[in-house]
Amino acid sequence: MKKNTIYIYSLILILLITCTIFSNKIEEEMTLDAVVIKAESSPIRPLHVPIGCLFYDEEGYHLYGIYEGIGWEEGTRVKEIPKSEYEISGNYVVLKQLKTKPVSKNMANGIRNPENGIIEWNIIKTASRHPRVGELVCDYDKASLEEDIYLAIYINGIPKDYNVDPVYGEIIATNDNAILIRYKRAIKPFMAHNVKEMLEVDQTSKLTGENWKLFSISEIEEFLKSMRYIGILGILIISCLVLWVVSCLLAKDKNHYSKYIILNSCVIIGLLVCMIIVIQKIDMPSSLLPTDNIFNFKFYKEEFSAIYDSLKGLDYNMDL
Amino acid sequence: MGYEEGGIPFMKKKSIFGNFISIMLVICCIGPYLYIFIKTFLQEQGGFTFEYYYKALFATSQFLTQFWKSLLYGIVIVTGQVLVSMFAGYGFAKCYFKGKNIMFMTLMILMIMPVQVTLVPNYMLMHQLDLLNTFYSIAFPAMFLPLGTFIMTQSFRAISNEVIDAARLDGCNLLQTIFKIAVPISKSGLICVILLAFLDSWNMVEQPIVFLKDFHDYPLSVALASIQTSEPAVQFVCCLLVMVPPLFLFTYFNQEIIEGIVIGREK
Repeated sequence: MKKNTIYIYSLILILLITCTIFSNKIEEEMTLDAVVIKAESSPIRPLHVPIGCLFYDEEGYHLYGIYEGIGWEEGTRVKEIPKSEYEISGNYVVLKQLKTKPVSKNMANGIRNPENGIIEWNIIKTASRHPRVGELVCDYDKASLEEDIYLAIYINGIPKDYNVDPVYGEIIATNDNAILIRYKRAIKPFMAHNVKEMLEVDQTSKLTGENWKLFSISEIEEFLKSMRYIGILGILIISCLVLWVVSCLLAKDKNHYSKYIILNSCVIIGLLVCMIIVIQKIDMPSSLLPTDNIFNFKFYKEEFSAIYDSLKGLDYNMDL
Repeated sequence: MGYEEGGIPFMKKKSIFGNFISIMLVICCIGPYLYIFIKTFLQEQGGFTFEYYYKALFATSQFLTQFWKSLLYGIVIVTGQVLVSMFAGYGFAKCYFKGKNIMFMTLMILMIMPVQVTLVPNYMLMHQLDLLNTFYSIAFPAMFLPLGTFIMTQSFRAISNEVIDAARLDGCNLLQTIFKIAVPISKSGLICVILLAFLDSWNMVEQPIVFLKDFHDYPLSVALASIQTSEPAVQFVCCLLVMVPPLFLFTYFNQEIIEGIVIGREK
């Protein structure tokens, strides 16, 4: 009974330690990269933000803000501004007069500045992917500008009135469904929402939701380079489990094999430490991650199938 | 013997009824845990899923971080209480000093008092020591709880003085007598102290709320209540996580617990 207890709970301990190591990294990787702006007011216009702050999906448009969570939700998180709290006016989104009391404990409609008493709105201007309500956000004050290549995939074919401002970039290759664009001063980290605003597209495709996808080639390369470290992680986990099985088998003759059991235990601890070191080297850009579950393999299969098919059609080889 | 013609024998009826009651009691005891376990795998709309395990164990590191913190509290408190109760118990059981009986009576009275009675004095003490809102504000008061000392005193009293004298004659000093002679004989008492001290620290609620301010310093017993109830299945996964260490202790020391109950019954 004692031996079986030790076997089972040692496995549970190894799994819990592995989960802890993974969860720290997954939380870091799944944190949304975003640029947050304060809503401004002017003599002409009350509190407003540019219309580019709206995010579009199958359900229509959404405006997202941030709030500071408490307790389990500690950290800067995403909230959706209810449609009743704003209206679209030309090229701006005008925020209506706010209620003085927050709707709920954590999700205040705005934050009251203690110095002047004015309620301020922090709105997500752009993000690396479509925000999800309640997820953690990392506010990038100053994004860097570097050269990058973008891959735009059109599900229903390239629109006829498509154009790229030569000031920002040039088209490298194109076919019926995809375009490769070189941008000299591309914003890092890549935020598809921001880049879509910069590209000149017709209003119809913007307002009816996702019928085109934008990827950064440098982020795809970074993602694929991380795969080797994920492979190493997999080997480390399997090695831990194999060593655990071997230790359990050796423990049947504890007196004879006690040294080997201790050695196995030390090796398992070493492997767990190696896991921590290897996992730090993984850097998966959040623009290529699913919104809800990092283990959503169906999402990766769909996205990378589209990317590979498009790049094959454009005859482009990535630098891996 | 109560045989009925063509019917079920009376004794068999009694055992069927007894078994039925036993099964109902088992269902009542285990039912809630089974419900929690099953619900962690079921989606709201129906269907099997691991989504809630992902949300609790992978999507955020907070639950596991809080789990390890709670475990650290438990290990430190158990270690401290075992050491304190061993030495204090041996002193009360085998040493002779002035005022021993009065001190032991005081210990028994303190043991009966609920934790809430000593919360304010402990708070003032921790404040004076400048330990409030730290790990030690939880660990130190819990290490010196009187129950462990009482149990070890009773266990050591059961050891005959001749054994102690024989150990001294063989050249054992005080520490050797305690660790090599007294403790192995009083193993069941020690296991009882470990179990009770761990369960006490694992389930504590009042002390963290009073002595700690930061939510992230709370053990899981307190923090669990704050999980969003919009997804109760995530809370159920954390409940399963909370059950792991006590279950381990009970299954590992299962034999000693049963032996202790049997010996107590025989006495």
